[in-house]
Amino acid sequence: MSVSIYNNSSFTDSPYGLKLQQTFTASSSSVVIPSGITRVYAVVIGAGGAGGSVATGGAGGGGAGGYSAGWTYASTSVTVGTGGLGTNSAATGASGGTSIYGMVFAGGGYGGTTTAGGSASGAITPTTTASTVAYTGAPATGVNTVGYAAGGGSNNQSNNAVNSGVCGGGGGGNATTTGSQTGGYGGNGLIGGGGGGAGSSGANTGGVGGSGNGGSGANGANGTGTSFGGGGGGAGYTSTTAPTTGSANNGGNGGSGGGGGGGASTLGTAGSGGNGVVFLYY
Amino acid sequence: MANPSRRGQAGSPVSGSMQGDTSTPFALTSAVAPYGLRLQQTISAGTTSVTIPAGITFVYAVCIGGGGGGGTYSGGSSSGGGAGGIAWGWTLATSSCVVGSGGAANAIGGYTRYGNVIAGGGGGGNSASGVAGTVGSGASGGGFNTATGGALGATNYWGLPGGSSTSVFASGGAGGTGSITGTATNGGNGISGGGGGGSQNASATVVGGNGGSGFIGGGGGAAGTSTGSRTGGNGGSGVNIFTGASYTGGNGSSGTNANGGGGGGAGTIANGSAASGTTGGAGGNYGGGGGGGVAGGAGAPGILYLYY
Repeated sequence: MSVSIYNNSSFTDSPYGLKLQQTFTASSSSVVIPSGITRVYAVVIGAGGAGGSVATGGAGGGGAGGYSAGWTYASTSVTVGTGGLGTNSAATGASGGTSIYGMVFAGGGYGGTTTAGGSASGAITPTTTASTVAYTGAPATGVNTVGYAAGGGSNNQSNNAVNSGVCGGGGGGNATTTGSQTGGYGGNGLIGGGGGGAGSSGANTGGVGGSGNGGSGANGANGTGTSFGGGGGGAGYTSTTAPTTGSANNGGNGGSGGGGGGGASTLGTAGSGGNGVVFLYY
Repeated sequence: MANPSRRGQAGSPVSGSMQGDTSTPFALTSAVAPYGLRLQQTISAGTTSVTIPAGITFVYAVCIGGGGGGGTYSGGSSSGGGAGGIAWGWTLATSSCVVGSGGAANAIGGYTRYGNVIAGGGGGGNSASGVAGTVGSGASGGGFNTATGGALGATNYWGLPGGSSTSVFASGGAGGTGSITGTATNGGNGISGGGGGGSQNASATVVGGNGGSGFIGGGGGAAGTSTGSRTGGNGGSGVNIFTGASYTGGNGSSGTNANGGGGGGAGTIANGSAASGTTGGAGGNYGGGGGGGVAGGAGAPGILYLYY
């Protein structure tokens, strides 16, 4: 018996008309999918990277977590990545954790370095300031490059036209230690990257975190002297937890749903990345 | 009667609130758009907010990035700009968007994004070795009084690979190679064409490379300086991705000891502009790359289509 694909709905893969049925903000090994549902459309968002920290000058903001969406088999477990924890160790920040449901996965944002912003994540977590390939196959990008997962801003990057995309890269730190300085802005997107820090002996303005679906990014800390200049946190996909502003020379935290943490300046503590989230539609 | 081909899963308990299930396909429905959906919003460059009706959770988006601006170079051997990328797919409905502007002379085009669907802007013709495309866009060509190859085209949203100088067809086409003796090479063909290379010599016959063709055309490269014959490259051709209508790139200008600007690449709904004298032609709407010249032509803006 022949089958026409034109009137057989099993050949369609559209999510149109589906409803959000479950949201996960933490990992679980006991996901319950109703009997009879064999396939689920999952939207999976990785956690944000922490900002970088540095002894002198400003460090980069953390990259946004990745965003992946697609059909998968119905799984009984889900992994939700936790945001990279900000520290004052004068080093690259911790990457965010990976989120996974079934066969859909998204990596965590790369942590900001002592100078450059961390890259946003694609399907897997980056290991350098270059981003990774998205779940759909969209290409990875380098520093200061727009992309699905954007690269981070470079040292002294001045705006976020270069590190925005679906998932924003972290703003570059500003390494100049004299005069009026501004940290790089986190990249905009569905998920925002963290702002970079500025650590001058003059007037400092921490970079603003990138905006996301959850709202606007947070401002950096402003003031004269090396006790100011922490970058603001990037907004996440959700608005449950808003990103926080930079405070003194500490970076602000990223918002829920993968926002990147703000970069620190002059021995401050970097902001932590926002946790990931998983949505299930059926 | 609900259209069965619009459910997510055969036999699954799809939510009862089917969205707009009495709609009928109309003229701007094609293989690119899911069957049965309607074009509800067309959003122009510079717009940043979107209103989606309550209850609509998923939207099918078609994004076109801005075209790259043609190169500007006093010697007249600047390259054409690359075409903007095209991306299509489902996304969660969001209230914000980014719709890229066309690149001014020398500048890269702006990217277009709605939700998680993104298309890059074409490479601007401001470098002897071209400027690479991003997320599916075409690259600009080489030139600027060198015989340098153009940059690589970009892999697109769906992972279709970008082109090199040897590619027959690609997602984003590569830029053509410049010449200092005669004829520059054409931009690569692809979903989004690459810009043609520029050519320059004191006295030889010089010809700019044509822009690459595809659904959006790249800009033509310029030909300059020579006291002999100068012919700017033509812009690449384009196709309306919804109706299949064809559009042509603008012609390059030609003359002896004069002219030589490259034509603008065609967009998805309009022809590219012809060069005028040593000025490159502008790219056609939407996404066409600008032609090179002593003064480069502007790339065309991007556009965003939303179906639900």
